[in-house]
Amino acid sequence: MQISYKPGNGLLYSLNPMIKGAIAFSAIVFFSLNTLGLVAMTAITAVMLLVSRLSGVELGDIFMSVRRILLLLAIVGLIQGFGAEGFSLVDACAAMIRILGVFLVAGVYVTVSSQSELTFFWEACFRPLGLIGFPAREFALVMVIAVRFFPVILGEIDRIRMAQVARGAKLDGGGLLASAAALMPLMIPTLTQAIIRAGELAIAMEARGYRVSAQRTRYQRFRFGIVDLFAILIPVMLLAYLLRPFFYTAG
Amino acid sequence: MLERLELKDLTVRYGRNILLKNLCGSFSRRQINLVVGRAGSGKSTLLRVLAGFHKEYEGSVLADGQVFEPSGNISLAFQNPEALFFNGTVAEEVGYALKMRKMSAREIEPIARQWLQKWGLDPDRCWLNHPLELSGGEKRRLALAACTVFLPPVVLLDEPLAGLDAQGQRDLISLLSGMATDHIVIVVTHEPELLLEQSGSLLYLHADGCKSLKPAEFLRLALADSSFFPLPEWYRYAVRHFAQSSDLPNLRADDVYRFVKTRERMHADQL
Repeated sequence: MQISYKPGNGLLYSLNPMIKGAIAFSAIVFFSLNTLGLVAMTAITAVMLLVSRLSGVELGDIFMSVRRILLLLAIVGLIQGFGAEGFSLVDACAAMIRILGVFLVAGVYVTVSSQSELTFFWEACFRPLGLIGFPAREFALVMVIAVRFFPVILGEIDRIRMAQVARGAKLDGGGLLASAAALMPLMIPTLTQAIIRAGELAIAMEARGYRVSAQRTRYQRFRFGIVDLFAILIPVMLLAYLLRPFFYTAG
Repeated sequence: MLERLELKDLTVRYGRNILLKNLCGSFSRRQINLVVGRAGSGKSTLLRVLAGFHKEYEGSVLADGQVFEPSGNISLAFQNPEALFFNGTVAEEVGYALKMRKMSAREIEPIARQWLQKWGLDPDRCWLNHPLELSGGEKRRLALAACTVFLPPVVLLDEPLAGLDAQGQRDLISLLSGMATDHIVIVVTHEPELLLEQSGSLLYLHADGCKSLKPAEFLRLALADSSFFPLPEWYRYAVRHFAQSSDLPNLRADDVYRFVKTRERMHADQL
């Protein structure tokens, strides 16, 4: 099962897409860069999951998907755990909880954000670049389509992998070149399928009247509510915490 | 040669969800074995378990009474298997599975040519062609030939008739029937009507488990109650006019088309 948007009406769902995006991205940066210890990070992760659960977010699929990054977590834990004084389990766990936090934040964000909300957020992010002629709307659409197609392509790769392995393909070679060559049975059909799908999608969009650079109206209007005013404090606080060292240096 | 593949109380879970529940049934050689069910009934999961890609399950899969080891013993072709082509020529595509089994080029060529012929492709005509240059039906046959050239005892096919025209479907059904003499052929489909006549056994998957049925029995149940399994309207309509009391009608869309045209002509004559 894939992590994907699941409709709901809890607190996180009701936030303005801009606020949702800002919280998600500031939280991802926070998890990536912070230097808080293991206990604090575990507590923050637990609070985040609790808020998500209370907002009606189905966490089952997100937890099941954690299995896919177990190897990454183990590698990060091993690398970060070894210091000058030997292996430290606390350091290893602290590193792993940071990666896990990033994954969980991204998972919850994708689960509570519909496609139109994602597009709205990306568009808003790129809008300032429109002043220098950058096609912000089109770029936002490309990003959203890429995000939406990611699980589809993953599923496709899985099917192709199984079929090729059943034919006897060995998809892992020895060295770098051998590995690349061994992946050909996987790469070529995947690329072919992706191109076919892209072509079909383009035709479907044009058939439904999509034109590049056309003036558009919006089907949904996203308004700011009282909750958004409080929620905006979260990214502000997280970013203030992360930017704190710069202010000290400046002072 | 493997004679029988048996499922004993097969249960597959994913988290709290039960994807397959207490599946029991068997698949034999010398007949096409159908696995039928609506979308979401667990057909693909069963395919993955049989192919050995889903290893976490309860119950057992037995091959002639022994625990079944899928590795090297199965061939798996998903819907539109021609999407898997990645070689530059028909020769390389069909010979790939043999090459992966460490056979030399000299050994591969005669086997691959013979196998192409068996699947109704003329090797002299298409040997050095790019696989994508073939027609739709030929591509499907090449893809299935490439999947089965290493003679696996069990052949798993997911919707093998999808996207083929009536002639292509007819050709493929006859090839599959021929294959069943040497392999256990398992076909997973949610459109069983075209294969009912040729199949010998049918495993019907539903929300609460499964039912092993004779194809005729399945057809009778589906005709009596469309909520049991929704057969297409053209098939239901045709069966009402063609069916004998016990035999299954071997109907295709073009048979029905001819029948409808005849009826229309008769109706026009009467007017």
